[in-house]
Amino acid sequence: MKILIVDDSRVMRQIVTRTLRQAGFTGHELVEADNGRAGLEAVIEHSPNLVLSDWNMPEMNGIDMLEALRSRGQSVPFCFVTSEGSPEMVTKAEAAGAMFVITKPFTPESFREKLEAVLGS
Amino acid sequence: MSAQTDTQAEAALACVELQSDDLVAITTDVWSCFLDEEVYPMPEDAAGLDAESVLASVGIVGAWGGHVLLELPVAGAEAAAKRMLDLEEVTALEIVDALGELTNMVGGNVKSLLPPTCHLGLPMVVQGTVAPAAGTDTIEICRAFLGWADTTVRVSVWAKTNRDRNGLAT
Repeated sequence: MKILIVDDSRVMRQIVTRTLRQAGFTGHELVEADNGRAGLEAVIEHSPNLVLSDWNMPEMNGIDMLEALRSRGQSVPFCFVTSEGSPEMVTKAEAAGAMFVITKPFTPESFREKLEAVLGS
Repeated sequence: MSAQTDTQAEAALACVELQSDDLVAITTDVWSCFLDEEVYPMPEDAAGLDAESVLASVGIVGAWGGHVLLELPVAGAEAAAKRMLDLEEVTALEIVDALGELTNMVGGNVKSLLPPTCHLGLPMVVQGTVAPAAGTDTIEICRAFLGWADTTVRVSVWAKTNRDRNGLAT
């Protein structure tokens, strides 16, 4: 599978990559983008099977990216990985079409629990 | 009671309940997930944050206004970035990125204790002296000192002074 990781922090993209590996999700092709606008372009260019995206980013934030994707008919599975996991934001994310929200800080266990259904064990 | 007054009352309650222990718990959670080494509360007089530090802040706007500030000595900030990236050497840009992310996570979790109508900004990171680095239009309402890997982590929450002590618009 191809996974697109969208986060303005290179450190966090690296940690997400490492956590995927630690959670046992190996052998997947990983693509990165550093904001929502670049993420939109990456979805068109790479046709990922899953998007893992931050919420707060410069240029275009994650929720605007998700809404733009859905308005264009893109139904790629979309998961937020964000430091803001309040019930209100989870509701907003799910209403926009996100599968779920993983809250930072996260662990390999939380990645496995949330992503197993999408990526398999 | 109007909806606006309800929101203000909720905001006040949330801020009154924000304690040093909350900052310790949040910071410990972030550190244990991404820096994989024990972090522990320490008394303020043992903190020793006089040297030049890296200061990272993230703003919160909405029903409550202010920001969350994370401070580490330069060497401590470098150690944190190395640990997060699992590298033996890091660049200044990587230190800024790492500290910004740590602050973003601490700030995001502090925000979860505030009213739901608050929004988190993007982190800003500078290197300088500790002094009143948070600016002149804010007052510190809560702080915690933690020890980690022979260094000190100072976490504080600052409220806008054009609002009342609970961060509410006056």
